[in-house]
Amino acid sequence: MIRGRFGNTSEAPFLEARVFFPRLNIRGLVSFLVDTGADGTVFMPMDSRKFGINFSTLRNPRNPEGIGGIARAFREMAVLSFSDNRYVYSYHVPVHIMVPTAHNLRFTSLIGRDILRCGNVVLDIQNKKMTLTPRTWSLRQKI
Amino acid sequence: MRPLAKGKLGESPKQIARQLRAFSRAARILSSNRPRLIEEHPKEWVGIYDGKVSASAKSFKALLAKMRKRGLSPNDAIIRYIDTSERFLVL
Repeated sequence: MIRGRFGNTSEAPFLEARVFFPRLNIRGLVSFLVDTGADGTVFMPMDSRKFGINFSTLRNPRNPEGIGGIARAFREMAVLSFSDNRYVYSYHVPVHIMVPTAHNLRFTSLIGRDILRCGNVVLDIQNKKMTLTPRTWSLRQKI
Repeated sequence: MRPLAKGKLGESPKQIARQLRAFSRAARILSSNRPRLIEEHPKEWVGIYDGKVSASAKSFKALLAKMRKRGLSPNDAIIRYIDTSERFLVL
């Protein structure tokens, strides 16, 4: 069972993951907002800038839609890894890397249903408990 | 979801688990120490690494520069803006 956390004031659920972009050979760690409303995983500018992603190297432009309207993004294959201290579970999925704007630098990256549907998710806001119990994965390795 | 061959992660499961443990500890500081962060770093960007605030700055760019100067990898740190306003977010 992978344990997430709840923000103290926001009460928003977060899950920490290691992210690896094989084509770009870039890796790092990200605290994702758990978003059951997101079709897929979204990498926001706060994290793409932290990782030093060069947007001129990105391909596959996309226009994801949200409550703020239509945004600009690039689709890139990534490996997201999580740990429950017994195994490392890895998921090879496409993620949307959002193009920076004047308004989106402070937004956190989102983990969407592409990952969440691979297990049982518990979001217990009153008891501040967020867990993901994986049922399927791209790769599972014993620690 | 595509299958993934062993050895395609660039690091061993042990290394990945260790990084995730340290990063999760750092992330929990955001959850547990929010009042202190607001008091000490209002309207600043902070980089949390190895369980403590390792750098802070007024801009994101300045924070990254500070961290790199101190030999810390921003990729392995949790970076957040300490917002004192009560924004209503719909993501």
